[in-house]
Amino acid sequence: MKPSSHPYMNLPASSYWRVAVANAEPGQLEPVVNAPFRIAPADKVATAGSCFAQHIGRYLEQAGSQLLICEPPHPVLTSEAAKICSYGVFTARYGNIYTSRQLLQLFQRAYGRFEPTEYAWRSHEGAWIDPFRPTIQPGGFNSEREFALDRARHFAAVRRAFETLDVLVFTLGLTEAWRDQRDGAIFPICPGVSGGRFDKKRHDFVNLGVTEVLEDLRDFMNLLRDINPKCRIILTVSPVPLAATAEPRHVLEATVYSKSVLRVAAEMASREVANVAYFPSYEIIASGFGGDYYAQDKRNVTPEGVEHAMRVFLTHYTGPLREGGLMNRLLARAKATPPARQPAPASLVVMEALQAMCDEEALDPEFSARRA
Amino acid sequence: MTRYLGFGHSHIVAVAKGAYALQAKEQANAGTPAEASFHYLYDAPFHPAWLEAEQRETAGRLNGAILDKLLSAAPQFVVLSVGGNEHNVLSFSAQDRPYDFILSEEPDAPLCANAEIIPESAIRETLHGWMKDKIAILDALSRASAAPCMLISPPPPLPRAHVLAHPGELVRLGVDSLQIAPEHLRAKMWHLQTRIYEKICADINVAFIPVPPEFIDENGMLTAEACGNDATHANEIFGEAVMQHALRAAETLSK
Repeated sequence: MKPSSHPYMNLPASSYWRVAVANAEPGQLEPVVNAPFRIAPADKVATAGSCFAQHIGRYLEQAGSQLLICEPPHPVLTSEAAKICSYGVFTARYGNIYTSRQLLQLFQRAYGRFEPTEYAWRSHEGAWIDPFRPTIQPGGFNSEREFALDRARHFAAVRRAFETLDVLVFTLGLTEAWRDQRDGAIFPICPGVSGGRFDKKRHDFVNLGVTEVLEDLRDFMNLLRDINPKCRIILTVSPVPLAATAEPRHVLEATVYSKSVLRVAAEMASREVANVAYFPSYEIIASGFGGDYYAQDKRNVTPEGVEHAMRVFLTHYTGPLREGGLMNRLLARAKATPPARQPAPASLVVMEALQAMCDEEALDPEFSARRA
Repeated sequence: MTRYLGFGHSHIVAVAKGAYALQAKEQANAGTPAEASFHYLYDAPFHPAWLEAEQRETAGRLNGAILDKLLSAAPQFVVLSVGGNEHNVLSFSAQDRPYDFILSEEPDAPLCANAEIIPESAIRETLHGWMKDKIAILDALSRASAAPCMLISPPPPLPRAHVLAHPGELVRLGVDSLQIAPEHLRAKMWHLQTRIYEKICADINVAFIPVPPEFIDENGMLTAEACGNDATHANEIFGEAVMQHALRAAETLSK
């Protein structure tokens, strides 16, 4: 007797836990079935989000994608200094954007549609701190003038990013945030932690729910599509747990709640808005089924975990890695554009001249005669 | 008799010549001249002054020849002039992408028109990166010396007119085709470098001997009388003046 037909018959392998998860080789869990779109080599990809989002930009760049950097460091800066001052970490120097509300308000602030009452903080040393990117550079800004000039340049870069990106990869990190009661401005970090002063009369705690996160995402996408109708968005949820919760509950419980809200909101946004995809970096890392990907602090993700998530991402969104797609692309790119002989930066030419002059200085006869 | 040692890179030359000039004057006045000997850190026995650790876990170390000299000379104090041209590396020549920055001490000073304004923090980190090796040497010398140490401030940038009259190596390397950066930018970079040196010195218990104000002109450049024979170094007049300050400071130094 033939078994009766039912919906769970003849599904793809990815639908069966035993095949897709339980039997997946270590490091081979690949919980993506159909990416709704691909990132073409010519696409300009912008990144934003919580700290996990930093990896996405780095890997995309290594894979030969066009990572959109609208606020690049000046060439006079060393790469170490640029990194310390958050240049090139994301598409613009906005630092970590943990919440959906922060992303929405970044757009509104960059276009002058929202001017938070909390303009700037002052450090004990007198430095000016941007409340919306308080850790963007060591020591903050040295004056109100420097703060204002840099913020104007930053907002111009943010506008350029939103108007020119083809794909935005946004990593949702948190639902818990601190807010200015006067106007609803959301801070990335609680005032008083990395600058500013906490004032319980002015600052209150919010823990965004699914509806709020979804509305933030909808509002942001509407604003973005108004100026960039063809843009595509990939949402991910950061697998990095909360460092601390302000809720009167265990931090693990708070983390699971927060990530669940983000996961549901991202799912709903990707289902209801065209050209919005969800990528399961959270599932690959946090499920534990792909491997043991948390560092000893059980919070930071190991390089192996990041590599796994990004391998799946690149396979499904930029080309089949397992068929050598990535390597072929990198090789083709290298072949097509032989490394140009770059002129030495002006600072290096000057350094060479200075070295020669310094050696000549030491040849001074009087100094030479007496230094033996 | 005062007995002291000097170690340094190229700016030590002007300092040494100034010290020798002071000794000669003391002698002429029948006084008791100080006994000083100066050493160039790029000379073979002392170079490299700082030896990087072969393994990451261990620390680097100071060149043994320098240690020997510190021990055998048993100086009462040590005069240092370590590095000091890093500001020139960053701001001597104008960049294709003009830049400027706001110095903390002068937040309202004019900025170059059409220049990209870089936060001072980023410039400071960059400058600190260029100075890193020299700071390691300074720190190691200070730790190794039983006698108190003092660091002579490098001179401010030399005025544009002087640079053009003494381009030296810059000609050979084609730097003359580049514009020299505006003096106000060069002066600010030197100020920032000075601030970094001051902070480092305070942290490692090294006395910092600043440039006497009379050697800084209204544009923040080294005054003409103190300029050396090239585009970046000071002369014996400068060296003599800073050594006078250093010798006065030495009277109150302790390790």
